[in-house]
Amino acid sequence: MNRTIAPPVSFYILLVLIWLPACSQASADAPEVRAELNPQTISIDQPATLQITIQNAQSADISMPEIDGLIFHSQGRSSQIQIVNGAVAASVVYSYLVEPVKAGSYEIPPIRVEAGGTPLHTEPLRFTVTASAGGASKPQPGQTGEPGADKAPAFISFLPEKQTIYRGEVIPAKIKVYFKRGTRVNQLSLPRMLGEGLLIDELSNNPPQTQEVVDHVAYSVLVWDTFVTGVKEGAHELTFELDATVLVPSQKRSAVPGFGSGFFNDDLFGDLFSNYRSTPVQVTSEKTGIEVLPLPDTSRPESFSGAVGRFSLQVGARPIKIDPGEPVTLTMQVSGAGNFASVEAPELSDPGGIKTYPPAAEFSADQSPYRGSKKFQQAIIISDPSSREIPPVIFSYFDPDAKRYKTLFSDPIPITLNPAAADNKPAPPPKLEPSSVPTKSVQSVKSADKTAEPTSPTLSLVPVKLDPGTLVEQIRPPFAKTWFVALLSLCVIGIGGFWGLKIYGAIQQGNEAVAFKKALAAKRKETLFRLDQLNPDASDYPARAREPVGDFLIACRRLDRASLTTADVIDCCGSDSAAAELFRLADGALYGKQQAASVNTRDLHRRIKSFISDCS
Amino acid sequence: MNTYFTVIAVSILVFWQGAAGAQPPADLDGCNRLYHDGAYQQAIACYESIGTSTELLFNIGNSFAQMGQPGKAVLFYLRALCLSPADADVRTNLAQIRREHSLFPPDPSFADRLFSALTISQWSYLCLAVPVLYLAFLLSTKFRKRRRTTIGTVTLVCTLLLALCGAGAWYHWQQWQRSVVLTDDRLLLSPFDKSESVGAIDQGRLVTVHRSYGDYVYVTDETGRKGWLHGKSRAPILPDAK
Repeated sequence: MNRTIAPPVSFYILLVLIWLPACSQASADAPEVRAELNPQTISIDQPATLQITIQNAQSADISMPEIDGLIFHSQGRSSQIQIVNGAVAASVVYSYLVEPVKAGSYEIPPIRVEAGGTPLHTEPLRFTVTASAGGASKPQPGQTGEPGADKAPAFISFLPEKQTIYRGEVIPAKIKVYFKRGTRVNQLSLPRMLGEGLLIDELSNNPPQTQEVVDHVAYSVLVWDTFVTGVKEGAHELTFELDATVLVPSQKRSAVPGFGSGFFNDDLFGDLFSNYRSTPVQVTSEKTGIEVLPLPDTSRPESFSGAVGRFSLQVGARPIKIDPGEPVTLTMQVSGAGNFASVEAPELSDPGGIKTYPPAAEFSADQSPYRGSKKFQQAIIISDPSSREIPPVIFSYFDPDAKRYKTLFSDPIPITLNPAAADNKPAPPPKLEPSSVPTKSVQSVKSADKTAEPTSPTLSLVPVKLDPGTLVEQIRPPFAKTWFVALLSLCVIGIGGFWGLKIYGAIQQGNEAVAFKKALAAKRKETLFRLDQLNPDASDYPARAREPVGDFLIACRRLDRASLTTADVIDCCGSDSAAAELFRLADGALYGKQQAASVNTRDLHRRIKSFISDCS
Repeated sequence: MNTYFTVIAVSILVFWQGAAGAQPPADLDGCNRLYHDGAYQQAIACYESIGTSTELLFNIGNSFAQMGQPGKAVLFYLRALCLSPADADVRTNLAQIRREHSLFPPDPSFADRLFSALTISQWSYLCLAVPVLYLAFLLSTKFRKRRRTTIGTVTLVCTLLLALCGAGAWYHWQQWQRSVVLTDDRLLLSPFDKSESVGAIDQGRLVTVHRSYGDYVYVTDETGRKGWLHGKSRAPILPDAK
């Protein structure tokens, strides 16, 4: 029978004991260090890899130097143990990503490595960083001279399309926020405008992000495309600022093994697994001057309503074949770019004989709120039956490029009045005097003096009064008149007095009732005590009990008597009551009447006491 | 006894005269002649020299209407309606001028319809009548015993009626506090001459004034638009109002 004998535990222990000295033999060899940079010529947007290999060591402490223009990102380490013919060789490789921030020639000085207590140094490494592969972009006008652009982690640039605008003019502008590549941001506010006289559109919370090189320095850039409107004339200086918390990479870093990945190194917003310091910064742009010019007063058209920009006008009407008095919908569309908030409905060049109603407006934006078309729909009624066309519509605006006002005219729209219907219709409304036509151009005429007044009333108004009526000194509502206030006050006082007296009486009544109740309880107690002092078996019991019972009844029934007769007691308590029986017996005894043998005075005494106790 | 009677009669007469107001001078015909001659500006000055009454305000409103100034015409018609809310002539001309100038008011709300059922005078007198009758009822309970539930019911009904009348009178009073736009103007974003415009506002429109800043007042128009309006472009319905 074959038996497999398992090796004893001591066998494994022996193996380990053999292996450990071999390892210690390998470690005991002198460690060596070597540094390699690959490639040795890189462009500014292309990182290089630095590998530091330490032979005959399983770990080491590396002190990376601080070099202006270079950032080292740890990529981790890898260890290797080789056993060749019984000889054990261990090595460890530390990897770094070298990120250049500006072009030039660099030399990485000897790097100090401490392995197994032995200080070592690498050979110096030389390499060259060229400009971006895509070509270095030149600084833009707004960026030149940005404070500390080559040292500060961030700056703002405000780039309006132009710096001289007219009041009401809308211009596109860019706000760019630059963060040095490698700078990481974990909190960022929207840029705020400091200054007045201009309005800026609300900024997006998700601006696009691009890369730019300014002065040979690579930046990640957030770009806001916005619009600026001049609202106040004069020279204005604008600055923008924002608050951010920037994570600046520390040059002295410790190696974090196992997490070396480019994913963590080239993201503007992230701080995982790296050695950063959090720094709150307030980034402020340089002042940008914008001059807001007033709109010229000369040659300003009367129909100008404040529109500034570049516009076109299309006009249509429907229906164009109408019955007299039938409304026509006039559709006027103003298209283009400008401050559409100030674009108002175009006006008829000659509103005579046409009654207009307030127009409805609808704006359709095209990519921005300052480009699109605004459609006005206005109901008009041709009140003059001789009219054969809708006169041209006028729209005036200020063109900031041409620096002058422009007036757009539509073509007149021919209309046809249905003659058959016109015959059947009642007479058209009387032609209104110019002074009563509700249009602006005519209203401006009407404010003239008497010479401009019509010579006779033409409106169909109720004629003037011939009786002057009752004169008043002041227009006041009835409730502000003295007599009204006086009468109302009297009523309020009366009602208040009535309820006041009623409440006061109730309170008084309540107090008296409480006092009476207390007095009656005391009287009851006294009466019962006095009755208990009497002998119920005595022949004179009725005569002696009569007085305390009488006193109690006077108090209880609130009788206005000094003393009570039997008739009084019968009146207030009933003839069958114990009190009435007591008084009858007392009267009998008083007048010598023989007390009936059947009278049980003890029982009477008990009933009298019960009567007193229950009486209220 | 006769002396007392005479004193009371004279007092009532004096009070009545005071309440009714003084009689106007009799030069209204001259003013009306100016009106019919088309000299509306002089006619207005003439009417104003006489004094203030429903009829005179009405005539001034007519004059402005004939001059083509619907804003001022609306203002004086509304003032006339403050004195005589039920005057049919004033209402007719006001409606006419509004129709002519497309000054259509917005659709009335439920409160508008409810409180417009009565005039401010009617609501006010009702407000007075309710406590008077209630007081009479309370006094009657002294002479004729009433059940407690009856008194409670009457008190509750009177309180509700008083609240309704008070709300009605207050509603109309708030209407009186508004202003009329006198010239075609623009509502501005800010109380400055060169401010951006919110939109145009026609003369004759009613606005509610909230506050003022310099020459400008912050108003809400009938459609709910808000903006700054030049103070000279509007006049309060009540001459003494802000």
